[in-house]
Amino acid sequence: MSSTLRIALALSLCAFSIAAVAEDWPTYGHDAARSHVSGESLAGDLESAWVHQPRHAPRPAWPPPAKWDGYNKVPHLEPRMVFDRAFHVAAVGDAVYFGSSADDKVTCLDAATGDVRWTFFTEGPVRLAPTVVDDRLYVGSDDGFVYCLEAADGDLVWKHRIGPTDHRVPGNGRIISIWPVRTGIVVADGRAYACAGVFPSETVYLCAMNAANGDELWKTSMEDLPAQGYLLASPTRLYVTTGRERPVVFDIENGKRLYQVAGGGGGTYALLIGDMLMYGPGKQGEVSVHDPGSKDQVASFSGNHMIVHEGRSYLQGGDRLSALDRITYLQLARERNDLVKQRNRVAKQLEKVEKAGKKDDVRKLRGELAKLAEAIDARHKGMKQCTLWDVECAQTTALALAGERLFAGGVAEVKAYDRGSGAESWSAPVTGKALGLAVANGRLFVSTDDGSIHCFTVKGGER
Amino acid sequence: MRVTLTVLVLLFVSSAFAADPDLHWVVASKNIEGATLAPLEGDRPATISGKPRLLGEPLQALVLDGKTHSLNAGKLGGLELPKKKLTVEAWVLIQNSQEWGGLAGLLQDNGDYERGFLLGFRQDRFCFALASEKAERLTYLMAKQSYEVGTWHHVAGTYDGRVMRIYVDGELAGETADQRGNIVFPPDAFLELGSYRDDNEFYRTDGMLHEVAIHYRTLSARQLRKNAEAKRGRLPALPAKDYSQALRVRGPFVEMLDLDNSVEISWSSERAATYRLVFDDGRTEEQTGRRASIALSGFEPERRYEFRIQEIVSGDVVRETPKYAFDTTFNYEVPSPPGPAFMGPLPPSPKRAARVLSDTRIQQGYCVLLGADDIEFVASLAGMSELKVVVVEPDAERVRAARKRLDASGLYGTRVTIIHSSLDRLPFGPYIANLVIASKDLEDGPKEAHRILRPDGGVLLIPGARDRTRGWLEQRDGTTTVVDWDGVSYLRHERAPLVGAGSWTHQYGGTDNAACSGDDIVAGELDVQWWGRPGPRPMPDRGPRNPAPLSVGGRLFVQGDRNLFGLDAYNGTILWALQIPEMRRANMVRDASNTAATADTLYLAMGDRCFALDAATGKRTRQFTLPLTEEEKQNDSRNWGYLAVVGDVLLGSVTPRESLYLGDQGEWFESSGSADVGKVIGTPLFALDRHTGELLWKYDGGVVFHTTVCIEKEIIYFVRDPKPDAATLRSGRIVTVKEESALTAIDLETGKERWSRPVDLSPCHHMLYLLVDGKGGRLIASGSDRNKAYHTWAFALKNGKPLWNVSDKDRKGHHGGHVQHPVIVGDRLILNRVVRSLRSGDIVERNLLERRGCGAMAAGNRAVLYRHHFHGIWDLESGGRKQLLGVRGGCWLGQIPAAGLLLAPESSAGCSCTHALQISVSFVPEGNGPAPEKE
Repeated sequence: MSSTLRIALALSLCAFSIAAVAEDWPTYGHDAARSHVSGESLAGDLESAWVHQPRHAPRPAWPPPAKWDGYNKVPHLEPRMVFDRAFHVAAVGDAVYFGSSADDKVTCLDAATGDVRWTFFTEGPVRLAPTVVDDRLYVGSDDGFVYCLEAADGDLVWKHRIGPTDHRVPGNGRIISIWPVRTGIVVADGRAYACAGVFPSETVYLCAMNAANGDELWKTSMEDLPAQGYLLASPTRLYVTTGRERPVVFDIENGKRLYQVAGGGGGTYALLIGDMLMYGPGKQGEVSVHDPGSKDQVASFSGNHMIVHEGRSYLQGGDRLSALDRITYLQLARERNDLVKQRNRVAKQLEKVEKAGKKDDVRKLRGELAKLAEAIDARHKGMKQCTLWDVECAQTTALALAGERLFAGGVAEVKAYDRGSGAESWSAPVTGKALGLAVANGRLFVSTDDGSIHCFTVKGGER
Repeated sequence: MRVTLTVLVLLFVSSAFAADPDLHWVVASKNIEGATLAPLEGDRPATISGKPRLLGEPLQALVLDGKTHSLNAGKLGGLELPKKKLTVEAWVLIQNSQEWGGLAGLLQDNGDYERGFLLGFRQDRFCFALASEKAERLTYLMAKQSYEVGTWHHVAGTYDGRVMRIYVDGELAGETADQRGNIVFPPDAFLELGSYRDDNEFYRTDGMLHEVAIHYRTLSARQLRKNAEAKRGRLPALPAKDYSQALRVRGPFVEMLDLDNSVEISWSSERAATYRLVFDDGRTEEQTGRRASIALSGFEPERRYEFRIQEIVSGDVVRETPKYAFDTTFNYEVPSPPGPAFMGPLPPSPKRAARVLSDTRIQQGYCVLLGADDIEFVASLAGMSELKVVVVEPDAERVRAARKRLDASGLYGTRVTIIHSSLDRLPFGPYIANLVIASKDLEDGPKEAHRILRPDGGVLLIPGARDRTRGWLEQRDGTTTVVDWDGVSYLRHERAPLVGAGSWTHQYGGTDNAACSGDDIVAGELDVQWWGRPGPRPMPDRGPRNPAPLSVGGRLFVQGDRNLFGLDAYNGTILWALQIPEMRRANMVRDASNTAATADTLYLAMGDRCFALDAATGKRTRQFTLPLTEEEKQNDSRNWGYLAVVGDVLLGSVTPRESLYLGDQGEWFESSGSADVGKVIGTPLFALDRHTGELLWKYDGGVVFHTTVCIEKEIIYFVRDPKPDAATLRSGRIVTVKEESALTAIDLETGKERWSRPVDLSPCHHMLYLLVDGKGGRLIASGSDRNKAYHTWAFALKNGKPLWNVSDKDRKGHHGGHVQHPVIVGDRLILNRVVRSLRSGDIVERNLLERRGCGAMAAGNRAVLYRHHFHGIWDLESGGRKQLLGVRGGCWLGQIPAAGLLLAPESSAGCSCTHALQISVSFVPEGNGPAPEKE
């Protein structure tokens, strides 16, 4: 074999097996929409590069939910506040960053080796992953401060307390601020956004800061809801998840509160497609979908995680992973919702005319009802037909999309599925429950509930 | 003629349901062969599941245990089905109500698919369900009135193609025209007697069944009345349960020992024997003796384990307990200090730390160190105790160095934190520190250190203190001394309880049942004092009117679902946690709580014992036994019922085991049915010396309503039924309060009657409460009738003479509005959204406390706490009402004003509402926090 041919073959293998586009994962869920979608492709077999095992496992703030809802006889309630059960990472360039709810530190690891590059102490648990923008790292702590650090060495650039005063009390087993920062930080257009506060009776704050120096630009108060779970942003809006409650939407420009989502059962899991909000897991594990600017629920899916990409939704729920033609599905769902509203209107009219004994009207309205029922059934049928594939998937704790692969985290394992067919294409063991997934610069990072961060790279591949 | 009459009588005995049923079964020995009940009509023998147990003579009944017993008469296939007309009738006795119950059915009720019929019951009402071609869905026609638990009923459902009707005891109890035309049946279904069964649900009935008949025609009301009359009063009574075959241990108590999920399971028993612990995963352990304590390790985190205890004789199991469980999720241990590898960089300096810990006897909670001078001391304090140590250090370089060293040791974070702050303004809320240690005298005085010191036992240590510091502390409530340790002189100040802080030692505050702690502090605007575990998982569902938390001596005691917690009231530290599988009581509307507290001891009534637990550690220090008769001891049929502690006296009552409400099915105890409103009674009432266990006296003047026992100034007051019937003595519950009750006062010291007066409190159908207005010299009795109207009486404390009585409608109309427990604050009686004068009963303030939820009120002297959408507080001085948004309580008394705090341990578990936070929380009046920061 000639050297030219060897080089050509090697290049073609690389094309199949390694990332086509290198991309960072600069915040939880990849971006401020928390899409969990990377443009990077990790094809072929992956192998373990290193495992970082911190001395202490995460210390989540919130204990598990009730055993059941006895009055309504609903078993197996889902935990709705699930943002801090692993050390979720941000990965930028050759570095990986995470905060710890156990030792209050922010840590930077060398992405290639897993070695610790630097650490920075806050004065309370760091429960959410940092955000890295333009060589600076932004992170919040239960001590009530937002910190801006140099990404290269962890030096403090500025810190800003959002709450009105330094007032610390025992909270979730530690001495922390009455206004802990538990939303992560969104950085966009030179501004850093974060919330502080848990108890509405103490007032909860949403704050915009100058990302360069931490100066406060505006601050909005909430006196009815806490702010817990990763903050989300579109170009025009901020979405605040509120613990067990439903998200609230704000104008990103001035912090004006716009509305609180009306449907769904509360929770801190959320993602955006533009300004379409999907969130959950509610009481029993559902993703509730809301059109841009609308409080009302358009549709809901039984499941815990959803990825939306190129007209498709990928849903992880129960022991299934499925793909859906979301455009058609949502169109049909909207039509169904309108038809249901019509049916309810007609049913009310029917009740009235029945009482009045207007037989002709009764007959006419009954006919209308029958037609509406048929139309609703047709939409239902159509919605069912939107499922493109549906496969068994025992990995139910995390989901991310990178190129053609869906990575699914489960108990003691992580697997990859082909996004076109749902076929399983790779798996590897991890320690504990794989709760966090990030794909960046040719690497897959898996954060588990025992605090481990596993790094996988393409087997034999080079960047 | 005589022969004919005998034949007629026999016919009558064997089958009262005249009118030729198409399918007919009568429970009688002669009709049962093996496990098959032969039908009198129709070719459908019924197979009895479980071991058949028949009672009665000449009319017999089959005992249904709710777990194994049911009768299956085959499946629908091959059965000739009724078209348009149907009557189903049965003689049944329900022992325990349930969400879905069946007496005779042939149905499928699976979401969208509903076919067939059912005669059954739902919760406290009989029901008749049927699907016809009109609706193609089942209509569950409910009887208007509740059935009586433990009583025989004749119940029948009819359908004539147009109207469904239900009859109870021969009387029409409901009808509907929702169905019309032919009955529609599923392609397949079980013909089931004594249970509710379709393809995906199977609920067996707890009670007794005598007869079932199915007619393919519609019987008339007259005929059904006749059928109901035929056997009335002739069916066998429910037998006393036989407990002698089951092993009853005192306990067990399960304690988590470390974060690796090692556990200790301990119990005691009546006799010395060999006992075996058998787990569902196969592991076993044995121990011989009367007391057992077995330590085990290797349990997985966040997993539920089931086990039994067996008594072993000659290698055989002779008796065993029911199945118990514990859950390693409920592990509240503090992370242990790291092992030697991590301790390397820090040579521990244990001597001074050991001295501090032993002198102060403070091992848990928060220790605040003012100054990071001695990191070895910090590490030793954390390593030798369960304290979480917070170091405040003004010097940035020292902070950096201390963090680095402590982090290298593995202590940093969960056990030790360094805060960079000045010492003249400590950034903490009040009262949070069990131990405050200064590294040197405080330049700005000890005011800030004292502010954060826990009242009622918190210790402040200042070395080399000046006279000025000492003088300031000596003016505070508490004990200030100087101690000399290894040549260093420390000023030691132990903080006294907060002046004006109340305590909540019994279900409704104190033994007066006034639901008022007497706390003078909680009022006005409030700040969060602490929040944290326990969360919702170890708690019972919020509905079943669970026992209240208690607080005294700066501690908070919280009863979960077979979990018991001791917390530091001021900082939420979980001091101890026990899993106690036999500990559960519910329906506090009709029963007394199983806990009572003093500053040093928590008393827990469970089974036939009362356990004294050390308030600080949860360790059992003593068991008290019931003063039982020999017969009661033999059949092991009694529980400790009422519980109170006054001075040196421990009060109790003896109650049948059947009286216990568990609330494990998510019951709300909201209805008017006998399954919900049976008021628990006890007899005798007795007193023990709480230090020695000596029996002081027994009072045996009929049965005492547990919810009426109240005590004021050495006199015990209660309502009793002087002449209880056999059913009451067996069940331990009274549904209908007789017109001839007695209001009685007895002497706490001797048990001798002071006075007794007949009272008619019979309107009190839903509940019967009695409270003492000590200052005004009154007793207040209250309850609501079947129409939910309240009736309230005042009696003179000295002789029971009636003073006034009032009646008014329930002003809420839902969510427990009709079962509210009154509150007495000062000269005011707060009940049913009005305030009344205790002197006259007149309304002095209207339309109070809109309460959306189902909780009960609790008061201090200055505020009333209640549940609305969230925790609510009504300030009695300003009249202002406020909600503490985000958190809410459960369906009874879950937030209390005690220790100068609003204490609200989590009680909303399972609540379907999306209140944002579901956690234990405490609030403190504002103004006690850190001073504003200097610019």
